[in-house]
Amino acid sequence: MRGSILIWILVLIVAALFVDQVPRDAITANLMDLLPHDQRDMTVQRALDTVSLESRRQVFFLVSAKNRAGLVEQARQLQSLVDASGFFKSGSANRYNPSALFRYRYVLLTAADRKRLVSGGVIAQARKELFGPAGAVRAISLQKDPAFLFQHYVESLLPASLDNSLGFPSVDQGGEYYGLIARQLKGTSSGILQMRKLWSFITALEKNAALNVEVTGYPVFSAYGASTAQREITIIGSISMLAIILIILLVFRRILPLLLVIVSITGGALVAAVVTFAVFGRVHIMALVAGTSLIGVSIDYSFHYFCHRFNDGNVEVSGGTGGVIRGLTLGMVSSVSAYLLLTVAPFPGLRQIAVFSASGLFVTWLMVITLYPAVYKPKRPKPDGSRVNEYRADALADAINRLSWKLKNNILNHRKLFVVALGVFLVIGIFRVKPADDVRQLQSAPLNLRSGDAKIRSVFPDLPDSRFLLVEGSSSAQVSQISRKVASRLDALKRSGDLTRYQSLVDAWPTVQAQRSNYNLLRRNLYDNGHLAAWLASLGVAKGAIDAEYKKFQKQAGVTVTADEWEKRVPPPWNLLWLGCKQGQCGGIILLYGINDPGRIAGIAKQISGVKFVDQVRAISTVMHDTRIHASWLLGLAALVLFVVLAPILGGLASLKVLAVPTSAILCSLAMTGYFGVPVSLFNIFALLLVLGIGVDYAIFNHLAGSHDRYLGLAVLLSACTTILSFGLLSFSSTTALSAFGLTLLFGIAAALVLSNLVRSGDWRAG
Amino acid sequence: MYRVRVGLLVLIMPSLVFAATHDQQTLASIESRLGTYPVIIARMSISQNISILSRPVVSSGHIVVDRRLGVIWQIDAPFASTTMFPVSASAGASSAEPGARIVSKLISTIVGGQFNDLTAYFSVDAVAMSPDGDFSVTLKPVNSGLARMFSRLVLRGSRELKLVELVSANGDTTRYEFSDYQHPATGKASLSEYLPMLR
Repeated sequence: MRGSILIWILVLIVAALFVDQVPRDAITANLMDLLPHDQRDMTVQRALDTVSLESRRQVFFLVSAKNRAGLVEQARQLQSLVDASGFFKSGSANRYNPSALFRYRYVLLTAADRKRLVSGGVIAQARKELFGPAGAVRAISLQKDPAFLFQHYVESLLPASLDNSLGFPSVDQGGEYYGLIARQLKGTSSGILQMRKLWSFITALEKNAALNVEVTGYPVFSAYGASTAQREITIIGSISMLAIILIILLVFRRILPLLLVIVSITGGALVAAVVTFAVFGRVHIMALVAGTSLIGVSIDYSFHYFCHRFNDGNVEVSGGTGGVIRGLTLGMVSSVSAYLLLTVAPFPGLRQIAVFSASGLFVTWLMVITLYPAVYKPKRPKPDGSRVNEYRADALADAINRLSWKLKNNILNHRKLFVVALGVFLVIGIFRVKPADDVRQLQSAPLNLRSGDAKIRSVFPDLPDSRFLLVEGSSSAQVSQISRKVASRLDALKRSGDLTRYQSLVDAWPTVQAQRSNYNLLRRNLYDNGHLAAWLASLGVAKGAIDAEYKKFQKQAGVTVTADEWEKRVPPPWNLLWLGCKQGQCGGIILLYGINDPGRIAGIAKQISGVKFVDQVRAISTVMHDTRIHASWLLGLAALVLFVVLAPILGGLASLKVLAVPTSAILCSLAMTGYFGVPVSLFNIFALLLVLGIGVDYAIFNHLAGSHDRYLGLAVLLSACTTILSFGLLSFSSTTALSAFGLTLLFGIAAALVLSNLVRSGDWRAG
Repeated sequence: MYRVRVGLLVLIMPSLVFAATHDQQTLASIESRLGTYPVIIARMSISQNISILSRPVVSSGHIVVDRRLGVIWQIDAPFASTTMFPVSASAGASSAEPGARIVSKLISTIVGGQFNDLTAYFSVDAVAMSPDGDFSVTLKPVNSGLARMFSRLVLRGSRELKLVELVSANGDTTRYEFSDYQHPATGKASLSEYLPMLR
């Protein structure tokens, strides 16, 4: 006996040490980590990795003031705080140095300059600029770039519609000045700890009285979600834990059951965490919540054990611990089998939950059947037959038995009415169920975040859309050729107002052939015809300097830039537009701004071969939908597995009766979500998996209990109360996923509690 | 480490705020000398001294600054050219090249007498004010984008702004001399309505 205690102490210490060593960012809050990795082709995946990684790290801060000086002061203060926070890359890290492309100045021309070269308007334009408002700026580059063609090219790479004169994009809206500061998060970590700290920083920024600041960006919403979920889990978890402790102390009136429950659940969770981290490396917080919930169910094993030991005075029922161990083992085997089935699903979230729950339940069961008998010795009745303190739960157990017996008989006496009423209730309720797979509906954010996001997008509407076009081809030239076709179609959408603008590779990177053509155009229409020399001479440039420029031009003949080299030298977001070539497959991206009609963009992608419209939000929602459907089927399959496990032991008919309890509870829960107008998402299905596991346990124990098991009703009620307290309270969460999870569980467990009485046989009123 | 950085920032912040306030006071005193008007029209002569050129590039024309409508930059000689920078309600402002927009914004801010706004771009490096009202202010750019283009900006004037000199990072200078100030009543519906006044 002592051996088992020592072994368990050792196991728990090792598990705790392992969990302590797990890196904090191994717990992720990123919704994408719950969903299957994209099954689409390699280029789409590369495009998504390139574009979404960029946007998933970007945070936008909007500062405002009544004048420009105030705006600069606001921006300066904000930048100081943001840089000191350590969360973001320095603002200067992304500063663009155009000299990296200077070597290729004779082959990189804007479309406007090509037209001017053909029409002979290059020098007229250069003169207009040198003598115009830009003269002071143009004069700086006159020596190196005498017709300002490279300046035009560099300027075409910068966001033309934004005023950057203050060192950041700014805009004056009727006397209110706004500035946009963009920063990238360091690294790619979406670890819960990092997200919580980021949210604290953002909250502090917004509360800073000296700053008028609004914040938006994917990391901001992610940080809010992670922080809120963790806070709510802590608060709700603490309340429910206190309530559970109180219930255990009131019913068992000893501290030992409470300690054993805590040790076994903690042990189960620790070992489950070890197994899950060992298998997956990174685990999503939602999988931990759902998994811990499932392990929380193992408290039921403890209740059944303790309540069964109440019977120790009644030798007929007790039979030592053998009777209860049979029920516990059957409950564990059926639940673990059902959960292990989920590991075949190609959904990381489901697999993490399944491994966590199955390993946790197994360990807790093992502790109950090996540790409890070694530690927990029920007090024997006094020789005169009078009860000791431990047996004061009798009155409660008897009251529950009377109530449950009455409930069962009332239902059975009106079984036709009950069946019809239940049928109508289920049909109407389930008919009202509305699936919700749009990932945007799952994002709950406070009003200030949403209004801040709307404000930033209204002041700076030219932020890129997460949707884009992917162009695939066998070479950079082919990608460029297809992109050109797409561009002409997108121009039509711009004219009709269905698209504000787009950024394509062809706008900035001419193919090698086009670069040679650009060079020849310059040679013919600017250098060899003497126009450039005449222009420089008219300004007073010395002949030697003019000759030197001509020599440089001749020396650069044949110098071209490949797409790979170009991509390394251009500022964001241009550097996202070329994906490179892998295994003979090349890819380019066309970024879209201000999409008003996504249908027409998708239409272009369908009509032009080699083009795909990548809508990541829609893709995630589709994956959410597919996962929900898949998980629903798995739920049915899990019920089938339960039947296969139970049938040889309980018999076919009895197994069907037992399974009818969790199945009906699941349907009741679904119907209730319909009546309450709660949209059903993947997270509701996660909760239904839990209802299946818990419901089948209630049914098994009721089925196995004889009419003399006085404390079975008490054990099941205690189990239901603790589950509802633990997880039903999550329905009050402001996090959509947690709320959906809690609400579904609340309805399902309540239904399973009532319905499980129907599978108990005999007359248990007398106990 | 985070706390240390924030602590240092808190210590430095008052000196930054003091410097900014001092610059604002200096520029505000010049602004009050010049007075502010909703519309200003002035003649301008531009002279650019560029190191590789044997003679300055010289031009002349007019500038119109209407606080409500925007800016007109008109060159009359050596050839005629007009560029308009209308005030835009959205971030998508003028279609002019970024360099033109920056210079136009700076010059119109100065000519328009919105000296307080200059502290958004520059800090005051040196000030000289004579008892008879002449002033000379040297400003240095505060953001690295501007500093890559210009090393300093010099303003000279008395009751009116007479000269703006932009010194580029490579030492070239562009001088804008202003004269014949007019302060017509506002009320034009569009910038183009000013064009007949510039002939």
